[in-house]
Amino acid sequence: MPDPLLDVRHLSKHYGSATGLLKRLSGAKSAPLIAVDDVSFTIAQGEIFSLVGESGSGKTTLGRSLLRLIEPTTGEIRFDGTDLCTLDATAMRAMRRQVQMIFQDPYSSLNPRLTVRQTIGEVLRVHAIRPVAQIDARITELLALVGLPAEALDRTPRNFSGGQLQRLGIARALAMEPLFIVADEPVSAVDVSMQAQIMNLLLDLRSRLGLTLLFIAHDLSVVRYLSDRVGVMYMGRIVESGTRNQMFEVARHPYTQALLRAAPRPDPARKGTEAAVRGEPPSPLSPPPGCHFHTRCPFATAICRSTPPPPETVAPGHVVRCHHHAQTHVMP
Amino acid sequence: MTEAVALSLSNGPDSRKAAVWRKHTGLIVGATLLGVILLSSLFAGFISPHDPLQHDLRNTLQPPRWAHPFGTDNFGRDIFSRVLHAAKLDLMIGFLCVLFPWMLGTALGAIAGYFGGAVDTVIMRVVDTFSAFPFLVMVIGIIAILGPGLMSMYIALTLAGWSMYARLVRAEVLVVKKAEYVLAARALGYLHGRIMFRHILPNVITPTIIFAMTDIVLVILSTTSLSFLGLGVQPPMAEWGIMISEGKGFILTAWWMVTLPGLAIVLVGLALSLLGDGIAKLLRERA
Repeated sequence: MPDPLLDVRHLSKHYGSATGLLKRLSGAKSAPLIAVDDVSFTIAQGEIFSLVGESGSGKTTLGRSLLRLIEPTTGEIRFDGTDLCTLDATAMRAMRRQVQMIFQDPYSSLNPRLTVRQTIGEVLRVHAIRPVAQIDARITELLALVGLPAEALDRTPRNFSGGQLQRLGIARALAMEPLFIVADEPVSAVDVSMQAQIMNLLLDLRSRLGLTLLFIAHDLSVVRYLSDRVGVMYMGRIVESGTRNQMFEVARHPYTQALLRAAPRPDPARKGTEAAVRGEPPSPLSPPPGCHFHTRCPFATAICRSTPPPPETVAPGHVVRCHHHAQTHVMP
Repeated sequence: MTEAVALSLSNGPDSRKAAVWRKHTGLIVGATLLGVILLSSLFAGFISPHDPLQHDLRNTLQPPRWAHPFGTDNFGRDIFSRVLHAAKLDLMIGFLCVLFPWMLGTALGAIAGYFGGAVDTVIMRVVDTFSAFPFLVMVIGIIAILGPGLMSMYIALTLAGWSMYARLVRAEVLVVKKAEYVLAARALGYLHGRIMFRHILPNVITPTIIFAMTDIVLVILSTTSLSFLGLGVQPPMAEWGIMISEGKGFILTAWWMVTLPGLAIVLVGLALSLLGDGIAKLLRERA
């Protein structure tokens, strides 16, 4: 197996651990909020890895810290062999040519004051990706790539629909000619008919440009369509990851199973809605000790309340963090 | 019945004009009024019938009449000419004493909001210190240190006025900084200056302009107050505050010396307030 393009090792992000002067003087110590907790995963060249979790599970924080839009607290982000966390500002700026991002809210991801020509032209000019004379031609080319007409050039964001804005966000990221793109819930804010189009576009771009993608979503049914591999996050930890088939056919973690049951299926024979996960997610400020999921898990026993489960490989490429993964495939 | 028909028939471009007028009456009246004042102050040299500084001791304290529409003062100077010339000075001071605090406050507020942390703390504690003093107390205090005069007044009004702008801009920057297009700008590897001037400032500047429009009124009132107290513009220059101050001794015998410059202040204040509110309304609708 070749070296992965992206190799994330033990990445953590804590908020509020650096206490203020007053708090330090008074000796009071507040527990940090652990948004991302010792996360490791790899993404191979050309692969689409999807990260799924409820809101607040830390998936957006994780995605943003990969680009160091949020500084990770500890851990390594090896991209093509280089640890991004060790780069200084200049080296990181150069690295951004290769690592880009697509944002969640298409309405706020484009500067409302700039036209398409200005927004994308700025990328090409600042990084000298194309000589000035070829910039307009390149913008048109990028617009065509994401399926927008050349007439879009001189319009400002307010003249586009959500789906079109998301395409513009993708075009802006592509202008950098990156190897790797973090797509942070790119379809959760556009309406259903546009979701499929955007996902098809991403798949198409992958095959045409050889892109590698980290696709973040809060919904398993969305990622089934386009993922090669899937990871499920719960309260800052990746509780299970594996290939698409492993995750959708033989999921071992009770949380993944619950999410699968929650996914709507167009099956008129299935009546009623089962409660997918019992109870509310616990407060991330004081996560339950041991396995974070034990408060809502039908399999929970004493060990789940005391010891965090270690990652265990149950099949090649299929990693589960659950003490009872051997029994969970038979649902009660 | 016939009335209803007449009403529906009149639903043409005229009624649209009427709707615009009803909606933006303040803006239109304010802009027109300010336009007239601005033009007449700019062309004061041509319009005014007399030299504003020319004494004419045979014609002192004349009441308003054809030769002197606003009357003359105790030195026989033409009050109409003085009011026109004063308009230029007062409007210029008003504009500059809003421009300088706006620039200073916007720059510091943007830096504080954008960089955060220790920079933010230091700048905002300075802002707190400056806003702790009542406006006029601070202005008078600074002028007392620097000595009266036009330059002292510019400095004092700038130092006393910038902190509101810093607060306003910082708050807006804190919001816009979290917008995804600013994150995108960082992800695209843009330098701080580009992010600040191209992606943040253009999107936070609107509320400060609205505030500045209303601030001009306050600054012009402060300017005339200071000159009235003898702390701002110095005689014999024509300035509304000075004119009122000079006329106050004659208020019972020559009412025009105090009243007509006072009316000019009221008119400018009214025009700027209407204009400010109108522009604020317009920008809110656009946003």
